[in-house]
Amino acid sequence: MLPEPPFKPIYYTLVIIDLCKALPGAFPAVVAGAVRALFEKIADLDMECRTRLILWFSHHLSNFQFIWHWEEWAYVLDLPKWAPQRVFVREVLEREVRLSYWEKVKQSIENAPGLEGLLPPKGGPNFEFGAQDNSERHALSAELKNLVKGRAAAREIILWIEENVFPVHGFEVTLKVVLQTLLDIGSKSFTHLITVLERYGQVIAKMSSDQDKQVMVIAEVGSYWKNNLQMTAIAIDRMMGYRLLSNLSIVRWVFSSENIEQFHTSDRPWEILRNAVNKTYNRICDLRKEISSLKKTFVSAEAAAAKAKAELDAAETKLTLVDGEPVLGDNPTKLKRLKSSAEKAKEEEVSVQESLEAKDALLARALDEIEALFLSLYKNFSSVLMERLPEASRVGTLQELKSSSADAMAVDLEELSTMEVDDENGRPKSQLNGRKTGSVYNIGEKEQWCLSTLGYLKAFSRQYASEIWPHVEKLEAEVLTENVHPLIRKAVYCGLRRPISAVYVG
Amino acid sequence: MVEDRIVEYNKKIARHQNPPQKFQFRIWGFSSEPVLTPPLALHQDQDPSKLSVYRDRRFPGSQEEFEQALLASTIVYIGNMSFYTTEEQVYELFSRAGEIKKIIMGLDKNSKTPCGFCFVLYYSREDTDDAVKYISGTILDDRPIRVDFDWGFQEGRQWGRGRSGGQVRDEGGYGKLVQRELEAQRQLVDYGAGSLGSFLPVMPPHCKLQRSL
Repeated sequence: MLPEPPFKPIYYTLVIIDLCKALPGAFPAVVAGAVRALFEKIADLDMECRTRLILWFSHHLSNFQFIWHWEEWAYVLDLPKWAPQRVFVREVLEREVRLSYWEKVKQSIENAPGLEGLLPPKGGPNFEFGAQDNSERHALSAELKNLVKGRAAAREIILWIEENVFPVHGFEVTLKVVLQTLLDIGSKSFTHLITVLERYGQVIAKMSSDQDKQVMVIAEVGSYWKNNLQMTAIAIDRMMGYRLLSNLSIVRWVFSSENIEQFHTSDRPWEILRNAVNKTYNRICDLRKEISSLKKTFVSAEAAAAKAKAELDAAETKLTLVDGEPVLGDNPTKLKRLKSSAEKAKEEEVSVQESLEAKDALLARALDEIEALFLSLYKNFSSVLMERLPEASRVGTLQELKSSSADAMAVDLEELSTMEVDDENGRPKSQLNGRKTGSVYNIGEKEQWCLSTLGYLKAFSRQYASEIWPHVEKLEAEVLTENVHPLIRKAVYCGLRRPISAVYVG
Repeated sequence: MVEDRIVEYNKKIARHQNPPQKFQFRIWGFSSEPVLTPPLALHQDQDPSKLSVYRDRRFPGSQEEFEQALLASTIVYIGNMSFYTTEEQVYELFSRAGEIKKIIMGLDKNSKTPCGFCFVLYYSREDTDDAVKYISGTILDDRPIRVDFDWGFQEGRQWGRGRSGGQVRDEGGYGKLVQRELEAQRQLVDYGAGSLGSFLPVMPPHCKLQRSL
């Protein structure tokens, strides 16, 4: 269910697992059948649904020793590497390895040994300055490690870098050596990474003071962890959490050429993008929750203060008898007590109000951040798509995109449906109708790239529609202008559930 | 459906280990009953006595205070893990319930290697709740794990309390023996060695770190 189901996906995963266990004769077959059917049609499945299917399937299998009829899908090896079915299998295997370990997953696909080629890399960190490196940089790296081992403070390390490393080697090398060394120290586990970031985050912050530098930092992380996609994503996510990286830098890095090349073959750039957008969004949700609960606290603090004041006033104006004489004011002890509670209640009210104002300011800042984020996201999507989409005059719909051939000759849809086996040139693309077993994937790489990227554009728009809507006008003014490709516009509007005709009114 | 699950689990409370089962012919068919978990906490306002059957002996306070701590907790305790299960595996699985703040592995006091339990800290109570509800009893790294609310992390609770250094439930040779045999090819993460050895993470109790710092 899109964009958000009533329960977290993990709930449904659990229900399905329980049903498989409870009805072992009937239910697993149903699930298997559904998976097969979805797999068959996966090229037509929405990108967000594909991602969810991958996450669900890998999690599900992890509860059943990864048993599956992998040999049925072994044919994906014959498909081009951008074929959605092949990408699906690769991504499921990647997630399985994360949930268990490499050898285990390899063992689980022994019925289809060829699929081993689709497993993620087995290696560990890619440290350039380890013992195998003979250069001066290894010596620097070793010295840095010693400093850390000796529990040097971040300040000391920054000084050391500024005095010894930076003047000699320049910024780029300094960044590389320091960052990779820190990552290496933190490479043993998630907790090691967090510890390094907490203690030496300042060192990294010093080197990543602007967006360009931050993009360099991310590139180093990507290089160090290139064999482990999970750690790449975790490292970048945590650095953003510690505010060493901004979400804008992450977006810029995701849309750098190295990643753009993978948009249609790997989930790697998308996972990192999802994490960044999600985190930004979660920050806002957290702030909203805090403000809402602070408001409630404020209302009751205000009421309590008012009540205390009223009690105090009443006591002060009360007439009491002291030694037989009427005196204004209740007995002094009581007055003193009431006065102090009234003061406390007032202080409390003021302090809650101040917290509320502070949170409101934080929320305003966060809302600005997310607006900037979405603008940047859309601008990037738009510009990379504009470079690669075939001209709008030739290809205006997704169907046309799918049927346009690799050598950029437009193919009329009607010709396709009455297709004969050999076309004019007798080339393999005459099988455009597609065989039932799906062992041929007809869509060219460029077209697939466009389809996938458009799919993600739509998925992001839909996922965060509620946050994007307030900025739709700005979006239209700056990004979705008249000359933007119709497919881009359609993807965005479909995601936002905005009728396209709305644009042409007036 | 969920109610059935509670009833089923309520009936079978036992905490013994099972070596990983050899599953048979039928895909995903189980030949024997799945291994158990303590009763689930469905809602935050539910009966606190159902929050956890486990009562930590070292909790400094009354039963009532214990239950209060559990109700507010954003920390889960995870038990019956393989010694070889890594933080990354825990991260991948438990991220599905929500954004993880921190992971603290339970370590053998002597060898400083994992000994079968860990703590996961979330940012939100809702995510914590979901982790207990939806992950407990399911499989992590081929073992059915148990997920419970925890009353709060303090320095020292990451060490196993058994006399040999591991967990109390592993006392006696059998548990370790079986595990070592089955997992002979995997490697244990050593938390004692390396540059960060002196930096073992310490978290102040009920730390209120938010997602943005």
